[in-house]
Amino acid sequence: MSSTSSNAYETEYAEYPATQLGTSPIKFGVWLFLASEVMFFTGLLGSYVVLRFAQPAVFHEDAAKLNWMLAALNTAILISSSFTMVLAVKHAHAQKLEDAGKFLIITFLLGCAFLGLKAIEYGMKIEHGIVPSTSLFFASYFTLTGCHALHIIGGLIPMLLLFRKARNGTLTGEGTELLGLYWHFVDLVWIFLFPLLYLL
Amino acid sequence: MVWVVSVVGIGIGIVALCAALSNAFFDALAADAKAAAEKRAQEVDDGHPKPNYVGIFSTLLALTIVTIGISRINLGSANNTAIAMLVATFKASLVMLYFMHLKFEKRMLLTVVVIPAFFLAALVIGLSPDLVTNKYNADNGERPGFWAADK
Repeated sequence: MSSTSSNAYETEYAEYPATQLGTSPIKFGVWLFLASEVMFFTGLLGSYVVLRFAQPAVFHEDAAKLNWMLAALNTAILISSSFTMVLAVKHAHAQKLEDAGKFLIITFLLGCAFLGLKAIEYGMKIEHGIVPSTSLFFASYFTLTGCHALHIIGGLIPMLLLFRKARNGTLTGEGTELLGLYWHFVDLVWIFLFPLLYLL
Repeated sequence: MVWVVSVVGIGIGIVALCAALSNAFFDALAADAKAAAEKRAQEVDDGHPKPNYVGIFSTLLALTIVTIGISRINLGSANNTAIAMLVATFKASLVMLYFMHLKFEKRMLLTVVVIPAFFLAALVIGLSPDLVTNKYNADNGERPGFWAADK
C-alpha cells in the first residue's frame, strides 16, 4: 500500500500500514467484538435447538400462536434501517455531514419503530397470559427476542451520539462505518431469528 | 395451496425484476447527465466499483417474501428448516459482503468472520445427533440410565 495513493479510502487508513491485520486496528477490533456477539447468540440458539428437538410438537404448536405478519413487517423495517445506515456511511465517508445526519436519524427512527412493534407484540402476548414461564418455547422466544431488542437499544444510543457529532461537524467516516458494522450485525441476527421462531 | 405458489412465484418474480431493473432505476435517479458526472466526481473513490445498494436492498426484501412463501408449503420439518436456513444464509451473505463492505476488504478480515460462523454452525447443528433419536423426549416419559448407550 503506497503512502501516495490518491484513493481516499486508503488515505483515510494510510496511518495503518498493511500489517497482518489486513485493516485498521479499530475496525478489526469491532469485527472481533461482532464475533464474540455471534458466540453469544450461538449459546442461545444452541439451547433453542436442544429444546426444540426435545418437544417438536409443542414448539410447532406454540409457534403458531405468534403473529408472523407483524414480525415480517419488523423484518422489512430492520432491513430498511440497514439500507439507510449504508447510505449514512456513504455520505459520512464523502464528508457530506448533513446527508449523513439525515440518514442516521432515519435509521434511528426505523430502529425505534422496530422496538415499538416488538413492544406491541409482547403486550399482545402478555394480555393473553402468555409469559416466559408459560412453556419452553415461549421461554426461548422471549429470551431470544429480548436479547436482540437489548442489542438494538445498545445500537441506538451511539447512533444518537453520532447524530450529534454530525450536527457539530465532527463526524468521521470511520466512526459511522463502525456503527454500521454493528447495526448490520443486529440485522443479521434478526434475519436468522425470524424464520426460526415465526415460520418453522 | 394456489396462493402459496403464487406468493412464492411473485417473490421470485420480484427478485428477477429488481435485479433487471435496479440498475436502470439507479441511473434514472441521476436525472441530468452533467449532474450525474459531477456527483461521481465528488464521491469517494474506494478503488472498487460501487455496489448497487438499492438493488441489494430490494433483493433482501424480495427474499424475505420468498422465505415466508416457502415456509407456508409443508415439505416436512427437516426440509423446511434446511430451505429456510439456506435462504437466511444467502441473505446474511448479501448483507455481509455488500452492506458490511466485506467483499472489498482485505482477505484477512474474512477469517474473523468465517471462524465464528463455523463455530455457530458446528455448535448448533452438532447438538442434533444427540437428540434426533427422540428416545428420551418428554412425550416418552423414559429417562436414560447411567449407560445411556446401552438402552
